[in-house]
Amino acid sequence: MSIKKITAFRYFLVVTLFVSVLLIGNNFIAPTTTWAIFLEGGRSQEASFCSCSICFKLEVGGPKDGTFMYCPWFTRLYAHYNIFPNAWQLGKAYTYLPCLQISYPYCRTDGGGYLLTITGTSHGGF
Amino acid sequence: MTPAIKKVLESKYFYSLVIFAFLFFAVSFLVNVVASVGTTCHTITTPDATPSTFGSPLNFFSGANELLISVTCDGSNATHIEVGSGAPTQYIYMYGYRKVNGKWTRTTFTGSTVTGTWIVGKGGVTVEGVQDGETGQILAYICQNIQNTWKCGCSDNACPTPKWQLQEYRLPAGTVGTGATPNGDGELDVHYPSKYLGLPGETVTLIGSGFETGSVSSILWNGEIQESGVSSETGAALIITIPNLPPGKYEVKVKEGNVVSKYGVGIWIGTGDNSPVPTITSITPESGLQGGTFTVHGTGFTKKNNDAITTFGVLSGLPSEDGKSITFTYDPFDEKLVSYNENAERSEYALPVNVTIMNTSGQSNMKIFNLNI
Repeated sequence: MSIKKITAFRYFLVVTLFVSVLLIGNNFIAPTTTWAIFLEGGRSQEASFCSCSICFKLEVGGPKDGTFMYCPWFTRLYAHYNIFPNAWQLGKAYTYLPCLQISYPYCRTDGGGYLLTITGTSHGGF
Repeated sequence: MTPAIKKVLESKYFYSLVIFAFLFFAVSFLVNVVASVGTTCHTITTPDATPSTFGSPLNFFSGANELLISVTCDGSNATHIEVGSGAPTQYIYMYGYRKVNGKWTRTTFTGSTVTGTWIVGKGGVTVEGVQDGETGQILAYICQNIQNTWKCGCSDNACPTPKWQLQEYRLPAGTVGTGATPNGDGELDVHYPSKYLGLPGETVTLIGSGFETGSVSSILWNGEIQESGVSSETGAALIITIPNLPPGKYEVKVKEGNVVSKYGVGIWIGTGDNSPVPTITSITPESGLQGGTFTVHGTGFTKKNNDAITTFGVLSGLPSEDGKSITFTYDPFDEKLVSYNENAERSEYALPVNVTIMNTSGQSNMKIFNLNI
């Protein structure tokens, strides 16, 4: 093999390595947050507004209970579009998000919950 | 290609360089995957949630009160603890403690920049996971250089006495278990029906919990028993038949013995006369203030008893004189909503409200209006 071909092959290896790093290594170089998504599902029991994070903190009952954050700037809402008590919800949640409330002259954290990525609901209410 | 690059590519160390770089990024990637798989599971997120004997895991000096000790749980397999937010003015004592079987055990944090027994910026450690219902505790000691003064183990902005800073963690709800399908165990409850509208004689499946598997269930429509001896195969579903009642909306509950389900579901009995299904063409105004009046325009609205199902609750029994418009005032909240940005400055936000209309002819499409808060 000529020196030129060897150099070209090595050049190809470097480019391949560089692209691989961009594709998979970037996740390490700029670690962000957790990406595990899990199910939420149950009756919506309480909803309170987070004035600085512009989300609603929802207490959801079993079987997949917990405190979840419905944030209209992030959460995709599906039929029947009602997040308020006593509608049932089934959706997916993501990382923990604090509920930021106004407390002049600051925003303070007022608990928080798991950020809903998507959720669908029953009609709820009667 | 420049001579310098050519020289590197032709050097005898080239393959070692490539292999080293590849291994570095492969290991980096794996470390990242291990570190990032999981769900945030720390439970102390406010200053007042920390017992007075410990310092807080929050940063009181950044203005954002962000967490300095955060925890990620990969189910019950592993727990990744991260200490510090990465600022070069933060020094983390490389030894911490975590509670194992009721005893505090020393834990060593690692980080990319270490000076003596201190990690600069950010450190972490991966330990075994907690079991469902168990609370894990971790102690760390973080110092910050604030205007040339060291603030260590703080509980507030004044930071008078240094303390070990505590974070606690539990497996979050929803990460344990096999699925979201309700089962028949538990309190008698009706969750939702398989459909919200039907004609007499049609069947509807009620999804719920606590249904008896014997033929003991009775079905109440607006408080009156319309069907008895209904049985559930799974305890989580009941197949019922729509009774021969006048068209309208009914609250359906389940009764077993003397126990009536706490919640009911709304099921509509249709007219069966091929009336047009409601359709929303527009909502005016497109945006307005909380407590304002909004009009839904469309077709197929009944003269009375239309429901507007909205993001923030159901408005029931709405009339429509002309069959083409429904007007309501919208204020479903207990408080006046006002929005701010993270710097506590007033910041207007258009809160979307999804609306559908339901009546004896069916359920409409969805349209959105905005509440300016």
